Amino acid sequence: MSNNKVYWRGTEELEKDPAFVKSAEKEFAEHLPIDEFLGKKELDSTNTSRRDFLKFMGFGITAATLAACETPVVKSLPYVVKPDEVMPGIANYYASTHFDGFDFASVLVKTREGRPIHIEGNKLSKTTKGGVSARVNSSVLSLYNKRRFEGPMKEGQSVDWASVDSEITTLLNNIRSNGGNVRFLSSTMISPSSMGLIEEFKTWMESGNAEDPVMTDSAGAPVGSGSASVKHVMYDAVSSAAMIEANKRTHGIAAIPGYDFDKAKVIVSFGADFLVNWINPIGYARDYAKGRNPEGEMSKHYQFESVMSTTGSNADVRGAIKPSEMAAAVAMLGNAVVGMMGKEGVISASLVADDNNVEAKIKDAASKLVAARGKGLVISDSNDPNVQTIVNGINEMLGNIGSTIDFSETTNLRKGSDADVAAMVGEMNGGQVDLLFVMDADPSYTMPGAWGFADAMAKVKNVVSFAEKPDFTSQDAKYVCPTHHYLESWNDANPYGAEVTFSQPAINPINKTRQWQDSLLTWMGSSETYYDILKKKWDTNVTAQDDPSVIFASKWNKIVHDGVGTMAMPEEETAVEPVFNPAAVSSAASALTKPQDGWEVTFYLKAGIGIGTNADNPWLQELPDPVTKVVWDQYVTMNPVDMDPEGFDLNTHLGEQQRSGMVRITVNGASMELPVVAVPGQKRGTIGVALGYGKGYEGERLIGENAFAMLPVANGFIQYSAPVTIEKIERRYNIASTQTQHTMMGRKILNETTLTEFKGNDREHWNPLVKITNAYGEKVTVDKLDLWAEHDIDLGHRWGLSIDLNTCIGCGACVTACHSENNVPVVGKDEVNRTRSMSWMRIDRYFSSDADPEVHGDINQEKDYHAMEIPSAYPEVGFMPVMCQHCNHAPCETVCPVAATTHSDEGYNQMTYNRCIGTRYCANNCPFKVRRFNWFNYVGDSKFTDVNPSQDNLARMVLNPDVVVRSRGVMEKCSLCVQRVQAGKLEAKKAGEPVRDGSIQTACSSACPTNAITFGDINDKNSQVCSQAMNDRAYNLLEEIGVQPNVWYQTKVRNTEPNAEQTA
Amino acid sequence: MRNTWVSLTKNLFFVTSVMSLLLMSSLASAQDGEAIFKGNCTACHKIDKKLVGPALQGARAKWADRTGSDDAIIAWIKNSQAYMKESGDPYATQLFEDYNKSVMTPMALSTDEVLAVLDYVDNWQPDVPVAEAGGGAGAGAAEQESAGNPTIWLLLVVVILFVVFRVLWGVNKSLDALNRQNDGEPAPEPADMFREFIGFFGRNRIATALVIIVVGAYGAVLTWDFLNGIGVYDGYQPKQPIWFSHKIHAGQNGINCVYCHNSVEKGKAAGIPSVNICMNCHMGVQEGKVSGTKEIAKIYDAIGWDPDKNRYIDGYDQKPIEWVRIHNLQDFVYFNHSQHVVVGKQECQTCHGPIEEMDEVYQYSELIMGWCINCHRETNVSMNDNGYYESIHEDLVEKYKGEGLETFTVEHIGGLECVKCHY
Repeated sequence: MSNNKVYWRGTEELEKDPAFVKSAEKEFAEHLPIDEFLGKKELDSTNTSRRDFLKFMGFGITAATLAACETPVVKSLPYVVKPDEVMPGIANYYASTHFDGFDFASVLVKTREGRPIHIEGNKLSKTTKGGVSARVNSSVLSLYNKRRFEGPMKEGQSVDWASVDSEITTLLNNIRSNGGNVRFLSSTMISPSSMGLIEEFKTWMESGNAEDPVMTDSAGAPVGSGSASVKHVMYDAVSSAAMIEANKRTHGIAAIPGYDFDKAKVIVSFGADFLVNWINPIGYARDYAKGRNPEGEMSKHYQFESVMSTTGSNADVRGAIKPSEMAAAVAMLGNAVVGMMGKEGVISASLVADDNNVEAKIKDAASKLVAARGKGLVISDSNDPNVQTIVNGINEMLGNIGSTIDFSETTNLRKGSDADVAAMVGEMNGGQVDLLFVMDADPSYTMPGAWGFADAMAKVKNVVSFAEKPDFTSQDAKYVCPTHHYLESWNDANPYGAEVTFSQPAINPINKTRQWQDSLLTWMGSSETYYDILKKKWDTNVTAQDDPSVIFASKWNKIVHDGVGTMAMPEEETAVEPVFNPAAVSSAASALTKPQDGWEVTFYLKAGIGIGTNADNPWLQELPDPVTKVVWDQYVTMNPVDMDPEGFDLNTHLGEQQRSGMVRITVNGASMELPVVAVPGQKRGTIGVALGYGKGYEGERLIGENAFAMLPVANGFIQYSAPVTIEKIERRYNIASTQTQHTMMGRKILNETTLTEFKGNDREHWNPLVKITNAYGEKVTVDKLDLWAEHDIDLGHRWGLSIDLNTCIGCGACVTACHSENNVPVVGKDEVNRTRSMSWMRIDRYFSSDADPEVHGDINQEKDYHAMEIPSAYPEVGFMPVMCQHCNHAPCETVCPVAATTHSDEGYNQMTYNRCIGTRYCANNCPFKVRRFNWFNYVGDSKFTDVNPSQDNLARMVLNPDVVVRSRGVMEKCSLCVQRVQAGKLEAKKAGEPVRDGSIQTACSSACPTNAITFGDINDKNSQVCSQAMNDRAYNLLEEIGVQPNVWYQTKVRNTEPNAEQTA
Repeated sequence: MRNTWVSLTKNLFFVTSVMSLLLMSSLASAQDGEAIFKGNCTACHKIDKKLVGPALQGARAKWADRTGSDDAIIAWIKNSQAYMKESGDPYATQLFEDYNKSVMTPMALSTDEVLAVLDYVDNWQPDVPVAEAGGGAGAGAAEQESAGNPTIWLLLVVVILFVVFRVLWGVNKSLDALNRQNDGEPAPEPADMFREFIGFFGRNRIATALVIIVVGAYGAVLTWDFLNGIGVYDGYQPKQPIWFSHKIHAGQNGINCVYCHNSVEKGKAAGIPSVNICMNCHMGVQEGKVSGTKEIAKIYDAIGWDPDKNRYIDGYDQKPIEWVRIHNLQDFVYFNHSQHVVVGKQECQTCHGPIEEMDEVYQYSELIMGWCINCHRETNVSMNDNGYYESIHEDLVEKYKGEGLETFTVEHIGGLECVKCHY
């Protein structure tokens, strides 16, 4: 056995928790409350007899039968004047840009009959390269959020635009005449036209009011503060200000450079969650995946962090450190590199509690970096400019600047300045701000409590919020002038280098909202619209991508069609050469903070919730967190070792009957009470708390609390970690997690090897074919033996998936894409807790650690199986997306009493909802536990009104009309996006040519930012999926049971030397 | 009832189609012309009658007489406005004036294509057999109506037989009583037919069982038929908000189905035409033969057209026409028109019946799964001229070598699989 690791899905399994073991033996984990029901006292006192019951039932059935016989009259309403581009039943795609101040993506919006229903990535973009994230593709549901403002508001009352416009115009003219300070506060703004518009507004305001010149008093002195002053301040909820500051100090460029993760052979990240949250995660993830091909030159990824992040869980080598050790860890890497390269300048640095060989891991990273000089990449998410300066120094020393780090094409996605915004809050507190505009940001929510933004805002006379939906800032703003959702807006964006991307409306505005740019123009008395400005600007200043096949009437049409173009850069703005300033590094080295003792908290971001902009999006709330698999809740992450009886004595087990223990955490006097979830890999002595909560609701329940308010500020920079005091409280809390549900019965499923093994041996060693003994005692491969009759799968198509476990980062973009494409209902926390999640695909997360013979016994000895499951505090992590495996010999098909699930010659395991009578035999017999039963009528039951979007008339518009909405009592499961396949085949048939490989994509394969999921026709020998399914890394899940799935997995290869890493 | 009628019309329709086909094949040279004519001209022109534009019969001759060749009429057809401007032909200007100054759309046709249309118009014969067939269908239906409901006849026969039986039984009993009286035997108790009847079944268990089985079986058949009929709406002919006649538009005027149902070749829905498509013709055609201005006024009401001033009303609050949907395929079935019309090359009539003969449309087919499946079992897929099927066809020939099959039905390519329609 090449792989002597132990795998477990959660601490429940590891420790053989009795409740878990019991449920693991059952096919369905849920508990059916029959005894409770029959034991109810009320049943005895009721006077409904059995005869009455039969009467009611008879009446009911008759009534239902009669009602069903009535012919419904259905109306069909065609357009009066049909728009040219709308053809009923045919989807239109529009290129657009998603940027909410945090997540950027160039996207394609799928619309049906004028309604956006699905978001995919735009492959033409150089920034996001065709990927999307869960937060981006869920944004389509936020468009139909019924909580959005329906029109302008003044002091909490609905008003009409005319009155708001006249009041604000008067206000502005007043300021123009009498002087005053006008401030714009936004998150990072990357729209050149919007920035230009604000400049124009500034000029207009500051030029004074000619019709109503400055009023003077009797002495001729101007009344008021003189001329108007307009300033635009940008800030980021998760700040990168220290990076910008450090880059200015070391290289003279106050911006974030471009990072080439595909060129990097060694990646060392200090806390940066660059695959899901850090700056431009979608683009980074795609590049990162390109470098993770074990057949080529595979990159090596080191991650040093305290919370187990999604990125950290993908690292080849992960070191757990305390947040306060970050500076020391970076310095130690610097020292090691300096030492190996024979240079001067060692910084004194040490760790306080190294319990997982971090020091050795840093040395190892340094040697790899030095060996791959110019092809390495060191990054950090620290918001301490000194740490970032050292990081820059290391990169400079290694020659990475100019190769993997590119200052000639800077990233504009983070431009916020902590200092500017702090200064502005000061002005506000001093009563110096007369008018404040807030757009694309919720500062009352996302700013550190220490800055007291909400109090400062109360001192500003007039606050105009451009919020889309009620938030913490808009509730205190005098005026709310709601802006459009991005899918209703025109806009441009300059995310990276010279790339410019465009947003165009994909639907008419749903509410009486107005883009803030148009509001400004109206107030300035301009006759132009924002659209005019955009068109004028970009009809000349842009180069469109070449595509001779389509000719457009104008360049503007072409770039709006593509969604991207390249800016014609003015001469004087050509890139400044970065010049390294070594003095900055040495001064930073002396100012590094020292590691501290005591408990610390890291405030981290979750893949679904992010900074909380769309915390009221049920798709995102029900997206299991990549690492904890918890849905619908905020919690404290803690190492299970710290939770044991010697530590806080908290319950490490999750489940319907297993309530989590709770703690009260206090940071600088502010405290929160949260449940605790055990996360192996969390640095001992630290906890993690997610930002972005306290904003979303599940029905009436406010989910979590706002952790932004707890963020400390050090030297003017917001910090995302702090010392914390923790006390256990006696309350308990129910947490819903999907991880230990739908068990795979403890069989080994995640095939994994190391790069050395992979390179040095043939597949028999690391991906052996499963062989079983036949009746004659011969060992044969499993496909030679089976009970089933063969299906004719070689004729025509045979659709299949190949999933590369090496590049799957577990981010969950596929899960939300599947929800969107297939009308999968959201069921809410309570139902997830009862193991009734409806997601058609899940991403299983396995922890693994090396089997140490001292601790775990001999892995090949059956008697030692129990010992194998002794936990490791710092395990490795593997992700495995699992959907219906579309077995050619499907066990579910043979047990269906009504043939509702049958096999197709194109490789599908078909599910026919209308035939299903809900026996659930199929789900019982499914070895992969991928079938989902509709326990309720999710579109009608009042229990789901608040969580399931398909219940509300507005959100129902997001449903895909090509996929049926399932009703109660039927099974459902992944269909391999058969609606997309059928549509793709029809296109090919109409064109009279074979289906082109890659022309059909499932929702998951198209959403995957790393291209880990490949869909195609296995019978097409030239297809990508076929070559992947036939290669040496491919294997089927539970191959030994001979069900012959049409989904293949590619063995995960870690770039580690076997047994070289020692875990504590 | 409806079925018999429908099958009769179906047969008649088939005969009609065959006859028209025969007629058409004799005019093979004008085939192209006919296609072009139907695709481009029929919206505004008829051959023998005025529509939006003049009747086309004889037009060529008139123009040739005036100008000496076909060149003028060809230029006129290709782009009437340009022709008027360039030539200043007074006849053309007069025509334009006569027909409400409605501009004929410039036609992107080649000279050969225009000539083909002119040839077709020259050789055109009034479609006599169609008219006859239509009459025949009407007569057939009338016969059926007068024949009445066979169940009533059956009941009548049963009643008469019962009366005869009762009388004979009475006579029999009277004779029996008379006989006994004659023989001097005591008169039997006065007989009650009902009691005798019960008594008979009391004595003859087998007969009882037989009757119960027969009655029970009949009841089961009736129930089965009733249940099978639930949700099956063939013949459904709701009243529509506008008395729109397919017979007039598609039948008599010969407007191509695709002209109005223009997404039928592109998407899953055939598409109910939007009002602006109606207006293409009804800007000119303001009065119908059957219903006068009454029905056409409803279109104007929807879109806001002022027929007196011949222009759209500014700022009109347009309202959609609320048609009643006839073909209600259930939501759990995915049906794509373009798949069947473009790839499968099916005629509209295959499923929708003789739509060009229906004044008000009714649902012709059952639209039940068995009906779909039957067609998929029987219909051959035309694989020869479609590159998509090339390799599939080779594989199929190989697979069915034993049976020597060369053509394959939809079933052979998986057309009966659940997920082809249900997802």
